[in-house]
Amino acid sequence: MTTEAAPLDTSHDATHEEWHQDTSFQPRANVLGLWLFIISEVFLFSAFLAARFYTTGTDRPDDLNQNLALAVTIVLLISSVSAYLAETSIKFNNRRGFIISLGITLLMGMIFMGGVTFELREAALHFPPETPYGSSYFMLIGLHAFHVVTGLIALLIVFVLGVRGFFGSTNSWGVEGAVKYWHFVDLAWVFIYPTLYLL
Amino acid sequence: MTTQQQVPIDRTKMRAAYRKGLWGAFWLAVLTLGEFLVFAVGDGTTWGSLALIPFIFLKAWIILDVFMHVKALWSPDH
Repeated sequence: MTTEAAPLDTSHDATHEEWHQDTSFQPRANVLGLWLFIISEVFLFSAFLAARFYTTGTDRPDDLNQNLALAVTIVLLISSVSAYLAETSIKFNNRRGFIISLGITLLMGMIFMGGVTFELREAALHFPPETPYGSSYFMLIGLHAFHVVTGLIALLIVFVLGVRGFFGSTNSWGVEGAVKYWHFVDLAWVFIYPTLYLL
Repeated sequence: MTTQQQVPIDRTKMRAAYRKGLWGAFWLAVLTLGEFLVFAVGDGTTWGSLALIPFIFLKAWIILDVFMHVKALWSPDH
């Protein structure tokens, strides 16, 4: 008795192959993934912000350098504006505007880091990490500074690629992702600054 | 990732987008200085602390809306 082999059903494989070739969902997936990452970061920062009020209430030392804190806040806000201008420029193929704006963002980010480093040296003298306020202060500033450094690295990579001719109006996701992350760093500071210095 | 070809710039839309960003920057500056003034006047008082909260959330919303385009997440044409 001979049995005839049933024809292979290739329709599933074909559909699967088409699904893999269809990349139309990718930009939306990229955006969604980035936002989910940002939301997870919000939870992380919220825990640290809550810890500051839990450990010391609204007490804070008189030795905080208010002028320097306001100055670095303004610098970070300027960096966020220039990052926005860089993203907008590349979306409209304005390469010159993109390079200049991103350069300003990097410069402002580095100035911010310089200010924070100076501030940390002062803070270590007045309220060291062993004190209740000092522990919250150094944890929050340290966590944020780590994000600033990683943001600067991401922006630097985008900057170098941009100078070499990458990115454009139809291919700006790399810029958008790095810039959104930078805006999140700024957003976190909007809450950290009053939490540590004003409230 | 490929090198892009030159595409003509739509200057009207570009200027509108720049204006939107600069408008956001203006309000961020106003709110930051306002926040600092409220702190300087009401430091140590309960009302002084409470008055800072709207400034914080308004600044956060400007960053989310103008700079991070959060509304695009639920926009059907995005």
